[in-house]
Amino acid sequence: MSSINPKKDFAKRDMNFFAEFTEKSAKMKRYLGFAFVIGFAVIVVVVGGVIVQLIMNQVIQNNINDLKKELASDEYQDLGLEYENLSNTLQTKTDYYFALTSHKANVDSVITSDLDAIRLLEACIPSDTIITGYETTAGVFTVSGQTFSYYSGVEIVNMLNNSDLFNDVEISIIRYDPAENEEASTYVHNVINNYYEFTITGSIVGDYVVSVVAYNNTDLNALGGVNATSVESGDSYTLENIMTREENGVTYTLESILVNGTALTEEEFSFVSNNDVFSFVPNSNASIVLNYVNASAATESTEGSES
Amino acid sequence: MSKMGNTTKILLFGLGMVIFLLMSYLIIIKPLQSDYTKLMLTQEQLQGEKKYYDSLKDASDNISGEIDQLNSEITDVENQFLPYLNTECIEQYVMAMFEENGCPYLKSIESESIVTNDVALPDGTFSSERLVQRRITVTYSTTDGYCIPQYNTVPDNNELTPAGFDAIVATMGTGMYQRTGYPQFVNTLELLEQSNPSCIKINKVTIQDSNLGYVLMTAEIDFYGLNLTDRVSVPNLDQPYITWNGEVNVDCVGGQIGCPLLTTDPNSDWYGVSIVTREMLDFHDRPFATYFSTAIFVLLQGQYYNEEGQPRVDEVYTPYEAGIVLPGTEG
Repeated sequence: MSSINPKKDFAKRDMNFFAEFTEKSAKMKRYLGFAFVIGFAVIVVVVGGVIVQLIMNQVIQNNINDLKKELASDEYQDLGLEYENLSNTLQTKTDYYFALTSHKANVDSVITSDLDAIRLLEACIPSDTIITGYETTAGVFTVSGQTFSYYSGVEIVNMLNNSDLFNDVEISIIRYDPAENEEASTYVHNVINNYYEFTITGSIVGDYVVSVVAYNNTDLNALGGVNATSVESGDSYTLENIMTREENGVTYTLESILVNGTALTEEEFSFVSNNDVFSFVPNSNASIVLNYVNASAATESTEGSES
Repeated sequence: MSKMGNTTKILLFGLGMVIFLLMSYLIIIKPLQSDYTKLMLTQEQLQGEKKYYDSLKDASDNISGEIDQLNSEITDVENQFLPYLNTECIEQYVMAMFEENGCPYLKSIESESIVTNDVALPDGTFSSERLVQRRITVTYSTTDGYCIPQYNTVPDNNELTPAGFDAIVATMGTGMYQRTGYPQFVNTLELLEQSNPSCIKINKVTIQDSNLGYVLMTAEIDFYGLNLTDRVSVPNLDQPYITWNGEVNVDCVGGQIGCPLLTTDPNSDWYGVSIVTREMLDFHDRPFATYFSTAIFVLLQGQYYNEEGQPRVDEVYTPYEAGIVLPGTEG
């Protein structure tokens, strides 16, 4: 005798199923809702991303348009040509300046007549002496005169040399022979008619002009103009910091030095190179040529030959 | 759709989303990114191009600065030379300087163009900018300390009487009539050199005693100028040795070409001056005259001078008496 009611069991089972089903269905609906939300968010993100990308592209496009517009402007269109023209003008002007300063150095190097020496001579004439003539040119001073004392010629030089006027002096004193010259009669009224003629010749101690020029031996042009400097006789002339030189943003290296056309020996140049100083004592007008090479070009050349 | 289960819907939705994402990426995002990359590349290229041009611009500015600096230095050098050499202006200036400074007794003045060397450029070519040099050689005389100096005019003693003549002779060698000219000469040379030391240079000074009481003084004065193809600076033309500084309204009414036996033009400063001398009355070939008339002229020579050696022809004698006949005409 069974007390089990099958209908009741089925009903209970159905109720559980429905409850379960309903619960599952609600869960799926929630998932579906989430999925829609997520899907919407993804769409928003994608659309947002697309919009951002479009904006970024447009911003860059605008930048490009601006750049193109700027580069197409007259200012930028002519820049290349302007730079080329300016470079040519600079080279022309550099050559022009080099020529001008070369001429100036030549004129500065001209040894003029020393008017100070003339003034000095006027103050150094003994009372028994007549200066009959003098000539001063190219640093040489020649004085001739007549005197009653054969000491006067040397006395004149002594007085002149108190001011270190002469470098190298030659003096000749000759007793004047009336028989040799009719004009001697001009002086017969003098009580003493025994007199001497003298001639003094000497190099006048003066300043020397040292002209310095720098060449770029890589491109065969001048680096600046010719610099002429006056140097007092006996003083030394010094060039410092000459091993490298920068012009227009290019670095040049000193390759050789010529003094009055003669190159320094290897040892001499090595000394200059080690100390970055060149010094010498001029004994006449002097010209110094500094030969440079483009440092970067020289390096490339070296690297090229090594590889 | 409504009959679909939620799971199916979710799966379909998911699938749709995947397709959406895929399609979005393939159709929209990827081309946009590709465009972006291309645009970035283009932008970088243009920025690089702009950077290059900006560097050119900076370099151009630097070069312009260097050119300006060079122009300034060029101007400085250019102005140390004469812009051009006008011989007449230079000689007028030199003579006026000596005269104004008490040295008027000119013996000679000469000009000479000195050839200068061209400048060789480092590339082996020669510069077209040329140095020009003009040498002025002057010789002046001092006085002798005895003879009365007379300068650049018919003697002041035009109307000299015998008493006046004696008075002048008495002053010779005394007072203001001492030897003069040497200090003035050297002073003038100093002034000339100082007036423009960079382009006026005294090349040579020579003094020579004459043994006649006076001294001859010679100087070579060099003037340097530049012949420039493309001058940068504006030349200063104010200096008296560059532009004419002498007389401009010169009286040319009485000028004459050649000197006749007797100048009869009253407008000429030579008016009344006769060049008749005894030597001239020797027989000379006169192409305009016949042999016969020349012979008569020569034969008449004795009639031109009296026993005291004075010209006899009235036209000659009258000015001679007034003292304006040149010494050479006294025969």
